[in-house]
Amino acid sequence: MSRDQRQSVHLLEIPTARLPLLTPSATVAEVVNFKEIGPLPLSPDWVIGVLGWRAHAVPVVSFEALLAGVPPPPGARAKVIVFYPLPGRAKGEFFGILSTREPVPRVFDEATGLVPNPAGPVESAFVATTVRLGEKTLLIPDFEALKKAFYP
Amino acid sequence: MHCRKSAQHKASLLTLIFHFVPDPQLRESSQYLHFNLGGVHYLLSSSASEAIELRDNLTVNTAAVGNVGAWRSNDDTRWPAYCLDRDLRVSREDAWERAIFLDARPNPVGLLANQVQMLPSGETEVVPFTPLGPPPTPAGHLFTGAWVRGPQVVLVFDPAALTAYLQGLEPQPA
Repeated sequence: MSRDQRQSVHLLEIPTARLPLLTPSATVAEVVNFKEIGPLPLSPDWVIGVLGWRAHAVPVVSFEALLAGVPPPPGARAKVIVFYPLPGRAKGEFFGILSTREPVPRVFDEATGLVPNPAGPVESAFVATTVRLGEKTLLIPDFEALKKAFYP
Repeated sequence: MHCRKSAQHKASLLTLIFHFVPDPQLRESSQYLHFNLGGVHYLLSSSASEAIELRDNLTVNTAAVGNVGAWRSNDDTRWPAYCLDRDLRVSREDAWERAIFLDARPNPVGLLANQVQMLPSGETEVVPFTPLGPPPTPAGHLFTGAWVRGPQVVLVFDPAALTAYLQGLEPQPA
């Protein structure tokens, strides 16, 4: 099978203060600079705040805090990855995940050495699976679990 | 002194105008009260406001204890009002000039703020907004809308949830 005939999937590697996330590029609406995040009082610790984006108010989440409870302070190169609304949610319900820096686009196909993490998965309700790519360990978020936490 | 009197006069007129509109349904639901709490700006539908009272017409809670910042005395009842910080936690900050009272049973309940500005219909464009996580009040999330101004967001209180939140701050009978 030639490389052109192989099925490929476009993913985005999202750096975080812990392990990077790996999500389909199609789930991401835009990457924006982390600035002017307003407070969202009485929210869970994993909600950092709210950002105005294209006439929408987008709540921004720390995936690290979802895993460990404490959001790390955002650095100077931090970005907000704006995700499309989760399946079944209203069309304006975008949400953001904080990234420590610009995400990296990846194209994966059958020849790519993406394997389950030999050291086992990261234990979290919000991680669907943990994979290994070369020397790097990446987390694939469980969007169904995120939806349950976001909209209980 | 003159400015203060003038501002008080305008605010009193605002309160009077509110009370001259007998049916809340007749008030423009797209008009908003704009105020800030601990430096964070918020909107509240003007139709949710029962009254806006000046500080001079309130009794300040001078006791060191308790959540109530001030009361409005009404015959034999007292309407409590609370001062909230930027995290919407009770504060005993004294830099407030007005109380916005929301219609509630058995008595209205209020929020203390410094400046309260009426934004006319058309000056704001509020979009639906759903906060994440479990709602903090029995009536749901505190915010159901947002006024997006570029990257800045002014959150819009849900009147029922704000009322429930403020009522939850009241001392419970022993």
